[in-house]
Amino acid sequence: MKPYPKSIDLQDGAEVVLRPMQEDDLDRSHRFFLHLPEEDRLHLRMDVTDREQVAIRMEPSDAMDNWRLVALHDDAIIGDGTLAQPRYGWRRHTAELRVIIARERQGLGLGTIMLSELFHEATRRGVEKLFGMVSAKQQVAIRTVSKLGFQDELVLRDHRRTLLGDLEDVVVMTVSIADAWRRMEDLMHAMDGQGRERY
Amino acid sequence: MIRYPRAFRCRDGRVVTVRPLERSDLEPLLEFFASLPEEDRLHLRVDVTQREIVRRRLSPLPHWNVLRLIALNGERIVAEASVAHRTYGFEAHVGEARLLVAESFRHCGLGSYLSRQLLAHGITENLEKVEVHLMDDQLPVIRFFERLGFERDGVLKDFVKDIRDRHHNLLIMSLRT
Repeated sequence: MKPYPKSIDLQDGAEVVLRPMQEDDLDRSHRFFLHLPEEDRLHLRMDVTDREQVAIRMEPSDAMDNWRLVALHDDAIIGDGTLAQPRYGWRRHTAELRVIIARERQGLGLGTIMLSELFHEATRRGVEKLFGMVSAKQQVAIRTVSKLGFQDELVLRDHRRTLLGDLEDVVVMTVSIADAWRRMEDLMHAMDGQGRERY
Repeated sequence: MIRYPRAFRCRDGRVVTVRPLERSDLEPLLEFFASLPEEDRLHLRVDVTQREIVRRRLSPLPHWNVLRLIALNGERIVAEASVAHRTYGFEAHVGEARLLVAESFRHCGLGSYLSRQLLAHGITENLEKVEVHLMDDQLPVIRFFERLGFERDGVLKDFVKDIRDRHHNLLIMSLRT
């Protein structure tokens, strides 16, 4: 694995830098979230237009080892990925994955590249099982992660309140790290060399 | 707001005092955990024989609202019960409850009493749903929560590991308040 920061070219030719999130990213991160269309913010876990909640998200935690990766273009964040693993306890071999890509950069392979980086980090940490928690209404997101081998295992009824105030079901999707890698390699081949690291 | 301490009389006549866990409770809490048979400790989410991990229960958790109750028989802790929910975000209406009762104080009404205290607290905090997370082989505990009205949401395969590194399925149950 090359160390961060890494430079990649997206399929539209845009130069993008990947690196772990830093303490001074709060304003960049808040701007990224403010820029998301409401329908992309609708199903998140918190109100990311609130700078204070974005700051809470970045705080280190005693219980969780959260690894956050950002993708930047012209010093603006265009992608945000998280690998959230408990530091101890019965779920220590699992980690939750979350990836959000700016609307205008979707469909260019950035999500796949960020997921691949998160998979590498998960493998390095010895994570055995990955999971995602997706709103049952986010059919596109469910289809996308299904391609990576994630299977829906559990529905949590009325688990999240949307920005509009109503309750929605959340689907917990899981995959073993070995299955996730097999699917990821297929996807990277299908991307036909686009969006690879530049050496 | 429920006021503590409260006295509870078990069906067999023994009386326990129920009150929130305090910072000075570390030693009796460690003794309680140490007194549990390993079979019980295998089903817990953390290794409660580790002092540092138990100590974390005594400090407030940033951005979480946690009610952590203990039941005392004399000076001895015989049960611990908690309910926790986030103080911000879009999942703040969901609480997670945990309950652990010493073997000698099971089947005497104490577990049900503590669970009702947790649910009553949940209602005052405007929780709309309370979850419990269990290993799916804990049949007596599952039946206990079913009697309280909890329903099974489903199982996540091999999602938890015990202190001996063996995998178990995680069962999530929930109750609408």
